[in-house]
Amino acid sequence: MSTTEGTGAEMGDERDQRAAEYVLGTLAGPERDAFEAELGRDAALRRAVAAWSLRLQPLADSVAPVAPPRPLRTRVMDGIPDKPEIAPEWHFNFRRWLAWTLGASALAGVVAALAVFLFMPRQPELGGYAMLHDTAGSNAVVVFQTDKNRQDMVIYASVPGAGSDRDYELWLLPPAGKKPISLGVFKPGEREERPLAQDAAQYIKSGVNFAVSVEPAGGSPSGAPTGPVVYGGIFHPPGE
Amino acid sequence: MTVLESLIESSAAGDRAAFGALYDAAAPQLFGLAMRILKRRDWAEDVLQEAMISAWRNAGDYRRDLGSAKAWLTVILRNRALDRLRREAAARLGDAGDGVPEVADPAPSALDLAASGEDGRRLRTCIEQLEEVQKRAILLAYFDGLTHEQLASRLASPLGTVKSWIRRGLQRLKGCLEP
Repeated sequence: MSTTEGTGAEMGDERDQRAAEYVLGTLAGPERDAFEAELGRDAALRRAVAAWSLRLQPLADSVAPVAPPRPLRTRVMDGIPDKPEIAPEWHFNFRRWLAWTLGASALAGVVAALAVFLFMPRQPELGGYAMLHDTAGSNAVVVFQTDKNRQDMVIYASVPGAGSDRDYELWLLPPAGKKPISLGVFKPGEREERPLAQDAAQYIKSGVNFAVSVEPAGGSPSGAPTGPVVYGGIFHPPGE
Repeated sequence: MTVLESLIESSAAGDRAAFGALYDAAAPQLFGLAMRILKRRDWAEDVLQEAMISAWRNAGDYRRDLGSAKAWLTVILRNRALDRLRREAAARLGDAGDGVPEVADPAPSALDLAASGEDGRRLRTCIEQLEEVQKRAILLAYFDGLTHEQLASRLASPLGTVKSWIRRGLQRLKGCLEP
């Protein structure tokens, strides 16, 4: 309970300095190993590192992105073990949290983590995803994901608000002259999971197009897109 | 960009498709940074692969309240890249090289920081206010992964002097960013 609390500002200059140098990368060899060992035990130091990583992040953002070669994605996806090794670590963190935290906001964090842990959705076999972007190259993105049996779908949306009295609506665009099929409206922000419209399931194949339009609140009154299409992308089955 | 945070949290729960989407969203920026630090495509590929696998393994450690997912991923990537750089430098030292990577001195003149966004503009303004030597030392460390010793050699200055440039430069940056 007496673990040092505080932000970098309240923290000893020397320790904040080492956090800064750790993020900058000039701590090397045994100095860095010692620092990382300390990091595992010290919440205030972790906060200082996080604060420095945010301060210097614009440097990383200033570097032009380079598309990695396609096979690298496959190597990464093949290289990750089936079950992430989180459970023991999570318990470890949980104890640490309890040790450092008494405030209401921290308690909220614990409750949220518990909720994630206890109500973790069952994991059906994955059936692929689509990432929908705008044409302006902004960071905004909508991710659509479904299970192998096409029973459920998940939408993650990191986009600005659709405007007052407006909603975003997700559409599947079937090939060859068939009408777009609505997959429902969604709000910007967090992950949403819901059943997949069954008339859409048969069309969800590699390369099929998805689009998001801006509609009156509650969704298109006509059952077809009426507003501007703002995001689009294609479906990728697992491994593609 | 909260989607990265959600994707990391879903990855922590074992959701491979979310991790695939995380890769798609984050890999190009991370790969660009790895290329910038390592200057070799094959090393950058190895390092990106290691960093992403490490992100999957450690996704459960990520805490939203400790900062952005992007910054979390950047720290993982840079640590891997610096490890690689130093391993290679040590190997070259064994081969009688001098251990200092042969890079063109970028002297990232007044920063070619295509500093975008509010945070980028603020950091750029603050970096511009540093003394020239402080700025060079910090940027060489960040973008080229030079250690204190390598910086001393590159900047032809005593080790203690270089360390104090970095220390004072970082303190000034912090003061400037959080007045």
